[in-house]
Amino acid sequence: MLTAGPIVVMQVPEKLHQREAAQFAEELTPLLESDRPRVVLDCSQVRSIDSVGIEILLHSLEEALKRDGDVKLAALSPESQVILELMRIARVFETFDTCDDAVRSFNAIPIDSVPQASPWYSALVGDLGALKQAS
Amino acid sequence: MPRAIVITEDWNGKLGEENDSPSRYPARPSSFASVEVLGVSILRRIVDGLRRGGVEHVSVLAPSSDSDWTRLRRQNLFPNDVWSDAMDELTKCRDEGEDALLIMRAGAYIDFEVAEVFQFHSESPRGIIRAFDDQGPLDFWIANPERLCEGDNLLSTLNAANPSPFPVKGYVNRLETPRDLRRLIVDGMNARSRLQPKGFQVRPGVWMGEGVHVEKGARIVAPAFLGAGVTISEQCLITRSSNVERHSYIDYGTAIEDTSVLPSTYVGIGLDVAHSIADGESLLNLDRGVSLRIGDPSVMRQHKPVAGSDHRLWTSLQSEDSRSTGQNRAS
Repeated sequence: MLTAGPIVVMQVPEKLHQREAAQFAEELTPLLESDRPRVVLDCSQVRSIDSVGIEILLHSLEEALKRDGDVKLAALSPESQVILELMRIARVFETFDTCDDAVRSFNAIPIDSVPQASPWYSALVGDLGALKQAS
Repeated sequence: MPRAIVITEDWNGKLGEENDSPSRYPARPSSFASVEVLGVSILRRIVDGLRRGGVEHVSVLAPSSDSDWTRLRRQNLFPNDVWSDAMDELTKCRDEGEDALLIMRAGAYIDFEVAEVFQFHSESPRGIIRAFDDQGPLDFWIANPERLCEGDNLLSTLNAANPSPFPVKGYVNRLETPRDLRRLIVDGMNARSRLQPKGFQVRPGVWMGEGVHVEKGARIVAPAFLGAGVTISEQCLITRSSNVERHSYIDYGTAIEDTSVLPSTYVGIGLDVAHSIADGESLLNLDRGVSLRIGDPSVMRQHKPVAGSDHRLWTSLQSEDSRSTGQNRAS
């Protein structure tokens, strides 16, 4: 059975530098300590992120993944997009145009929880196996 | 002998290079004259082009260093002092009996034949011609000083005159936006203009200036330009018409793609710089139209080359600069 807490949407400050990053991390850390933490970071206000800020984003993702959760980024401002691409971390996060989209993505049913029917080609593979054995 | 006045609104006391404090990305994006493009500033290219075409006396006029640019820009005023100086220059030419003076603003990049344009002027009945391309007039005139010596501001005088249009057949880039600057660089590397990279072509489409250091495992994909004294560290990738200008340093594993790195810029470890102009701690992303000041010096900063390593080169270039430019005047 799948259990999960609420999906939390959190605003990333305009400037995510050393000082702001420490306060941001302080608020973010408890959210990541729950079972299967699901966090959406709203990046619409972000104008600047330094390497400390990047480290906090990566660390939060790592912590969430450890607990079978995820951190997703939403509504990225052009500035945050440029910075994340520059730092090569844009591809590490799932990103969404809006916070709603990001929240909805958490509610989508994971593929591994859906019972899988036999694929259409299984009969064919069976036939080919029999044919091979016969030859 | 033909003479020329080149007017620039972007002046750092030199022709935009060979300078201890290299040209930065212009604070006033109205002019890219002192920005180095493939090893040489646009202003320097204009002056050199005129001299190669037979213009012996080139005056570079610039606003005085104490001009309050912020105020001028805010009030949308034009720096009249430069054009007043230009008028004085014109009067001097008339007194010395010159019959043709080329006047251009170092704004656009224009490929033209100096002899052809002076010939066109000599055949023009109006005594004044103005260059046009398919988008309209360019800030480029040749005038007979006798016919223009009224008024105290050359720009107003030129605007009031009725010049014969001279159609420019060669490459023109108006350099109005940073995107135009990138296009100029890409066009130069791809031989779509006469703009030649300054350096040796080490293999087809890859130019390097003196003292370039490319570490093992770094990959340079043509077309690309690496200016003098540039260091490309291990595992870096320079690709898609990128240019890394003089004394810049690209650190370990960074990819530079479709990007111009302006002089003396440090770009940190493991970054992806794409579709941008990088200048010291400033990054202008052309794809997203975003300009950022990177506050983290481990990511991007102004890079100072090791003291003494290139001092001799700079000194010799500076003296060459003062010899070759004729009369440079910063009022």
